[in-house]
Amino acid sequence: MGYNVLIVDDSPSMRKLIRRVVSLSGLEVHGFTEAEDGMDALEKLRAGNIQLVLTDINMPRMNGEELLRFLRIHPRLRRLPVLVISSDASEERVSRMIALGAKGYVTKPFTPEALGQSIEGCLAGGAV
Amino acid sequence: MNRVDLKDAVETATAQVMESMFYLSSDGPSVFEIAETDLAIQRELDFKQPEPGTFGIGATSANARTFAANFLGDEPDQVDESTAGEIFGEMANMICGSLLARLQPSNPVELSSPRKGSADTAMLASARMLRCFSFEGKSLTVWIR
Repeated sequence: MGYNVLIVDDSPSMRKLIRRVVSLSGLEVHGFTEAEDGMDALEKLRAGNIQLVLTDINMPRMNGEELLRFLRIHPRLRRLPVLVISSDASEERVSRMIALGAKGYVTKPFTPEALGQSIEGCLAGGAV
Repeated sequence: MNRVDLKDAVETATAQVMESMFYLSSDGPSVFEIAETDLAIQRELDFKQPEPGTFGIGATSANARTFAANFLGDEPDQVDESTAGEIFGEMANMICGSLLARLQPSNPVELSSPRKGSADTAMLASARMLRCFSFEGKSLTVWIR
């Protein structure tokens, strides 16, 4: 058994990198699902059994902030752990995403170790 | 923007992105020059704060494909120009995001989506900031205009 991880990013290359880094992080992964924006992520979440969401913020159609807002009011998905991965390291953005319910926030660039630790903290509960 | 602080911030942001995401070490401090005129792969994006500007990066096709291959964990000959361009967009986004967060840590970073750039030598010579980096023998040009 392992986690089903949803990676939400409009860049296929970034999704591939995150997938590789998560695989190297030691997290037991059962499978990866990819989505190119928040709308696509919602479809994948409705269809599949996802236990962890890793999402970018700036994406077309539905961005990461809108995705978080939607998840927090959804009865089935409100407790789903979400880790934000973004190049925006500003305190205001980090605080806003945590206030919206993100369990963690990792800024790009990141090391595999930093991403692995954040995922671990995210799955253990509490904001990291 | 203070020119000295900006140069230092660009150096740090670029080196950090290249080391952690592209697994490449800097060969030394960046220089104010255009090392290669054939910047076939370029990406630019706009920012509004601390003052409006355009951030850009460029490299030769061969160097861009090497950088992209490092990012993806592939071999350079497995990376086409389109993929290299997409990864250059990510690189521009990360370096600029990291740079602006250093210059104004309390403000959210607002960046446009990366787009293809077409900066020529004349445009680069008149840029507000121009630095040429070398990462393990591969040049990367960074500018703000």
